[in-house]
Amino acid sequence: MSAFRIVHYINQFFGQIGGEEMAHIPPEYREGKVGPGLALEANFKGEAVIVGTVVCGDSYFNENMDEAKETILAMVEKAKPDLFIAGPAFNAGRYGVACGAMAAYVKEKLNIPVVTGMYIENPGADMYKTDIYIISTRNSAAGMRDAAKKMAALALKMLKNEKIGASSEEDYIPQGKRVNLFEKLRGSERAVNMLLQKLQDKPFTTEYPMPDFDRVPPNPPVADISRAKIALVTSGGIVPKGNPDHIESSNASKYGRYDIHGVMNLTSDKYETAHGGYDPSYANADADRVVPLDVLRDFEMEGKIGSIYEYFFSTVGNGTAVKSAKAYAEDFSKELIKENVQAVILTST
Amino acid sequence: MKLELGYIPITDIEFAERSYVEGSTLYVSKEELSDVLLQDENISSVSFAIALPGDKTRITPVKDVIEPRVKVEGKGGMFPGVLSKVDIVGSGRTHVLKGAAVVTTGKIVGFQEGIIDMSGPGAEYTPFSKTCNLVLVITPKEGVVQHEHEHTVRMAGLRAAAYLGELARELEPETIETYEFLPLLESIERYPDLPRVGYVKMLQSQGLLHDTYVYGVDAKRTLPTLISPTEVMDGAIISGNCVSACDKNPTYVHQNNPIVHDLFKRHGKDLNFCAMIITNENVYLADKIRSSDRTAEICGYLKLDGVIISEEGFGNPDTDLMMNCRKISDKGIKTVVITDEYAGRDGSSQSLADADPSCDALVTGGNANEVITLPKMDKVIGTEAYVGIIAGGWDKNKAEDGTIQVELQAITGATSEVGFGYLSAR
Amino acid sequence: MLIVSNNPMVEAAFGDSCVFIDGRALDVLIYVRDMLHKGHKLLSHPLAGSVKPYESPIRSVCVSKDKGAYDMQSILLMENAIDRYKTLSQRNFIENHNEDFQLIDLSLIQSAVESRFQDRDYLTTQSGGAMYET
Repeated sequence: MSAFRIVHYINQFFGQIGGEEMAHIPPEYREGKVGPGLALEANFKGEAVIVGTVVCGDSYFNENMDEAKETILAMVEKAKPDLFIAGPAFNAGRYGVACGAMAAYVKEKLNIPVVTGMYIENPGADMYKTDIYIISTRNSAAGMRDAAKKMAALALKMLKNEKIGASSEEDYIPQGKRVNLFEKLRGSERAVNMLLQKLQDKPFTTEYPMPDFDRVPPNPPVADISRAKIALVTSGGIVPKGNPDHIESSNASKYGRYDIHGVMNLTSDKYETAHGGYDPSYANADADRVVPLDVLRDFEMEGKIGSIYEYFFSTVGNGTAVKSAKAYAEDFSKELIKENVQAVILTST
Repeated sequence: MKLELGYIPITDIEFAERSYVEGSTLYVSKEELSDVLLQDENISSVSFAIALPGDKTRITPVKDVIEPRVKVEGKGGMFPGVLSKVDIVGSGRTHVLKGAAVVTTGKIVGFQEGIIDMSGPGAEYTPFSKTCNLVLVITPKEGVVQHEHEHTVRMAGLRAAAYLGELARELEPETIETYEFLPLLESIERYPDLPRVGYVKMLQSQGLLHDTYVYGVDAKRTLPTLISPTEVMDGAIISGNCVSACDKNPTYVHQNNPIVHDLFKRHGKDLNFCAMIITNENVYLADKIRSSDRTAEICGYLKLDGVIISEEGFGNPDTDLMMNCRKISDKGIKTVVITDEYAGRDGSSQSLADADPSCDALVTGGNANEVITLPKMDKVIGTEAYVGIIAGGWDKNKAEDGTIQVELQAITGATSEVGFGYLSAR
Repeated sequence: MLIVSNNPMVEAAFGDSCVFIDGRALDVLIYVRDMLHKGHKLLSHPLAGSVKPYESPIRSVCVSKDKGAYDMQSILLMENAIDRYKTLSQRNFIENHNEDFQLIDLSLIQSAVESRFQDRDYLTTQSGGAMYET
């Protein structure tokens, strides 16, 4: 019996081409296995073979998603694989999005099983977990051995048409789909048992976890807005023309702090958007549409507000992990507090 | 209160000239029972059918299921305030025709509820595929409007159950189970070291086909109150609701509340089951607040350590459930909630209409939106024409070969929120 | 008190107290949501108990006639309900059972009206403030 044919997708870094500086390379197809493909194939123990590997730059994929998907699909199709594997992407956001998007697309168009792997906080996980199986990995390449083992195991099961169990059994990220099952004990007995565990301070597992509550209690309203110092912050990606800080178009790894002393209005010759998640034309034509500095200056002149803080903070919200966004805000908020900013107008897209 | 339940097991039902029980067979006289039921002038005719476990029979639409019982000793009669006079029940001895059930059907509204399949895949999802069922098909007189029709069918079911229960009065039960629910202070004295556990039972109380009655009182017009679980065993709570069938408590389930039974099993060993509180689920928002406030107050007043809360229904009662859970938790009381889910056909929608971080221990009766295929049955009692309309069915869901596709919603008791069943979800 | 509804039986029963919406159940909910933003208070829960959103084309919701400061809790409840409506799939409603759905909806909203009537003393002695705070 011949081995199953697998095509593997990896990025420029795992493809041994280069780091961030090579993230713009378009997809290329290599025969056989590359990089992490070796670990994967070892785990197949001869039952499956990586016949080819697609290597693609993370920036290229994210910025040219439609074209990239089509090009790569053609490469994959040509190799006639039985299954498609992408990553593992660990916590690399753009890589995770690429893996998820490509795997979902291959599944849709070629109707073959697909597997990928990434860390649960990778933005790609939330985006694609319901469409495809994403093995839950550690947050860095230190978890490569474990990830390869689990991805290979799930892949083989899918290839052999074996029943795929619950997420906890197969180590994939829960897909958020409720699946019915019959228990040995009736519900009332399970409830009494669960209550006893709680009363005895023993660990218990709820059968349905509540959704994530990310409630931020609002602060009290500004006492006198006409005397308040207001700052502008945006995740809409508005940056000085040329994007001097190279804020990424998605999964931003940084934020920018931009001087608006004496700037009345964000004009198209001096400002643009770096955000890759919306049609940039209107924002490029007039960045005030995303960061309403012009109107706020009017208010400042009319005495409706006290003053505008002379720097605005900007990052790109597209595919950026919640953790990152929180970290940036914690950082620049220190300055806002120090400078007695009383309120922030936060714009997103 | 101390109540002995004497079980007379029933494994078969047959029609006969007169009604009696012999061995484990229940013999029913259609004439005698008709006479009893036709006392209600709103009924123009009633027909009977028998559905036994394993039969290739489907009963639909199901209005209520009631267990035949009779009070042989102690105050009051079955279904006090409704059938019997107003009196406190729950003590003495009650005989039960265990394994028998009265099932009422009858089209009250077009989108009537409830399927019971006595065999096949559908039988797995309803507890009443395992009971010997006497089915009443009630036809109301011309001009009887829906709420009267509902009342008529409700009363007929209770009367039939009481009539059959009466047959057990002189019989010697095969087994007797004793349930003792002590006054609070006595139970604390007896079990000072055991955690004090209460059961908060939510009753649907919203309108036509959405009501529950406590000692004959519409639960809408009640405030949360303490009750002894033995009172409920004697029919103090009856069902007036059946929409959707999967998570409504038929009267049978009130009579046989599994949370009560499972708490009693651990009573005196791991816990002190010392309180049962019933509360309602009204439409008016202020009522929801009023009831959940009061329920939590009672739990706090009793200084309970833990509480199990069961819901009835979907949608706006999820708000009552979360209010109860949060407010009781705020009193420092540990909670476990039992509910069911409406997560959509693919299981990916949010299961509940409301949520609260305090609801960290939840037992589920399963996703009621799961679709299953039910095979054609040789016999249908009631009418199948409405299966497409009942909550969970949909138009054109009946295939050429007679198989129907329905959501679990439509199956009586499929996702019981008092944990009567074995279905769950992850 | 006003009842926003697409139920002809409710319109017939409540006359001027009914704001009749000639549309779907979701249109009723959206209309109520908009009213809440303008300061009306939500009095009954926007979701039916048990009849699922995709089962019945009929919906009625009670709101206060008077406006006050807007109540965030009501708005969140309303938005969640709208979300619930949208996420549970649509079916084809069986036309000739419309009357039955109307009847049940009328019964349910009547139970809310009765409760409201009971609160009338509270309403006349309080002015402005929220009927409840959750």
